[in-house]
Amino acid sequence: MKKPVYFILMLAIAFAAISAGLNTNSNEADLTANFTSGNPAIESINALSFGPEGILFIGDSKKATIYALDTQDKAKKEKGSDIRIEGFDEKVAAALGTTVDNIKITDMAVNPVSKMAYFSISTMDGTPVLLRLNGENLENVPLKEVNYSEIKINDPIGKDVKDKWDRPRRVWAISDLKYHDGKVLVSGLSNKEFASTFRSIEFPFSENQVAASLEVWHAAHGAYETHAPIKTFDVITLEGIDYLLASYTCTPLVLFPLDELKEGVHKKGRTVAELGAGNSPLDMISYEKEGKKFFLMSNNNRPVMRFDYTDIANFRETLTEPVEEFAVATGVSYDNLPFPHVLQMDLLDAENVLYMQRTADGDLLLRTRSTKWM
Amino acid sequence: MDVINIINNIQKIKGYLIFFCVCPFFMGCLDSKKSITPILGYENEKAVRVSFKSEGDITEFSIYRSDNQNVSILGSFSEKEDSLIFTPAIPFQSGHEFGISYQGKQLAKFKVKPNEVHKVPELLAYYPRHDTVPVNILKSYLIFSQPMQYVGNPLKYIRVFDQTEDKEVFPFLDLEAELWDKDHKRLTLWFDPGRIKTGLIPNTEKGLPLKVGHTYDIVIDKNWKSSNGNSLLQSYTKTIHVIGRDIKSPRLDNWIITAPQKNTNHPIKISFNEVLDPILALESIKLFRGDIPVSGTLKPSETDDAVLFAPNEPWKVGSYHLLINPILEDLAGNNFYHLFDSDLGKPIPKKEISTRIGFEIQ
Repeated sequence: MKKPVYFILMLAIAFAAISAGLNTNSNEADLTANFTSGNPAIESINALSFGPEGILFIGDSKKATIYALDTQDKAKKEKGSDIRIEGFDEKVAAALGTTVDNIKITDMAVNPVSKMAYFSISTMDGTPVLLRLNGENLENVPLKEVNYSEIKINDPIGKDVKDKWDRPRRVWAISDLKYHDGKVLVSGLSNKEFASTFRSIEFPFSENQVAASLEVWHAAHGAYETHAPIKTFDVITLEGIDYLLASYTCTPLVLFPLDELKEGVHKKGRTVAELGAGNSPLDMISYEKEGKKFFLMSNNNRPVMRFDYTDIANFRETLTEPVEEFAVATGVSYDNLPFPHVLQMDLLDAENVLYMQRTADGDLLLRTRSTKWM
Repeated sequence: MDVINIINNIQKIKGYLIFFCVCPFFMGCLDSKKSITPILGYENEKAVRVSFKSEGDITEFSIYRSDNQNVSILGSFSEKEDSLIFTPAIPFQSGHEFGISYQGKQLAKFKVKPNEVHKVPELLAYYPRHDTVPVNILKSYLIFSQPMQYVGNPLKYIRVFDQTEDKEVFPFLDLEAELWDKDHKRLTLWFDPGRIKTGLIPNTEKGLPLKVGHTYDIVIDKNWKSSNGNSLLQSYTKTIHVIGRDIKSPRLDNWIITAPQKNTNHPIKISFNEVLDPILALESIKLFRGDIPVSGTLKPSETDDAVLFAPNEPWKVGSYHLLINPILEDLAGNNFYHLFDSDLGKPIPKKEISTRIGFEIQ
């Protein structure tokens, strides 16, 4: 009796394995089903974020367009390589046959599948460049003959109005971009009307994109601010609910329940911290350490701040009182980590963070660090 | 045939095999002493490729900058007929020398021509061109003759001096995302809105970006470069005098239309009776005859308090009308519906605004 049972069991396992394989393949095919091959004519790269299966999302402010690029970089690795490169901007400039004053590293993203880091570079003459770090070597990622899909960011004042007035499409300065749970989330600022809008775009791209305008409480005089542009954001899950955690110049930290950001909705956020005037946030990442979740925020005039998810979840208030003293922080507590001038951050793998830091002597350092020490 | 003969024949065959296998390898190798002639390909005055006639393994070639020979430049090789083409990731930098090597040995050098002098960029206009501005002015525009550089922070090249207090001030909003138009010739500069809006932290801590009664020099540094690497022709200074707060929405019933003669192409003058955002004005005013848009050229007046529309076809006798997009703003960001600095805690009364103004050509 044992043999038939064993045979059936093996058959079931094999069937399950094949089904799983088929599912994976069909999911993958679904994600890139509407991709086309050719030259997307990307004109600028302001923000990068990886989705599943090595798909890289690229924000092009100049064309007010989001691209999904199939990098074909799908070789799975559990752990990323240790990186420590001094003079990283000089290395990039030399690889492009130019000098540091002619380039600007605009964003960095790690492919969660291959653990390879990608960098977008803006150059003096405007040619956008995408580079990948393979070991110690930089590789040029072609942007012309690629497999991709794209979506234009809808005009902030609506299609009808735009058509009627035949106004040129705005440059939509994309300040941040993240892929989360089948959606590409985009924050940005128009170069005409000073209004901040947060967009949620379904992926694979369709015509569905939701734009919500966000209000933020600046802790002074009971004034809500509609026009402040989000500088950086992340999505965090607190007690089973996904929240947009946005940070603004000068430096409120604000929560918006993600499922309440719907088309045309004007949403007031809950300010959980004022992190001090004279500062602007630069980047955010979340990670897990010893079973606890944290997120890090880097800043232009403060060191990297570490927040405990539990502290945010337990902070039930909304800040409504003005901060009287210059540069004083209030709200959710946080720790200052001894890493100032961190310009870019991303998770390298489950246990390491990759970051780019301007050191005290002016050097641009790219390095990995264990989350144990973050 | 004895065994020794067989062995000898096998050895001969091995010898031939080795000859035929190895010889093409050496034949395929490039004589590093043989010179090649690189030909640069230019597009829009940028050196975007170099091609040269050569044989040899495509993976053994390297292109480098002469002053940094240890680093190969990123790009891609392709073959066309008997030539190899190298396309660098970014155009070869003008005025610099580059080299081509094969298996580490230099084959040739080539130099990229320097930028042409006549491409020196200029600041064509600073909007608003009016010298007197309200203290709550929201934005300015810089218009350049050439696309400007895509790296660095524009505020590095813009300094503002308060003549009245004899000190440098920092009224502009420092944005990481630079607000250029698509051609990279027009830059939008925001006076810090957080300092203009009453009650926000930057407003309470630092006050308004400008002060009433003060005179400011806005200096555009000549070291600002165009996208082809040329610096501005000269430094530019725009002087502004600051008056009181503009707390009135623009009103269409203040506008005056000066209609031209029939059968002429003379421009129609649309006077606002106040200074409006000149860039928004150009995009917010349309002219129609019946339902048909009238084609022509719209340009701001010298003082930004009017626009002039010159039709492509002569004016005909009859009724025309303007349609105005109500998002049009004055210099303080006030539009036809509400003021920029309005209390969002209180409901803004809804206004019914006609955005149509008719006129007759007689």
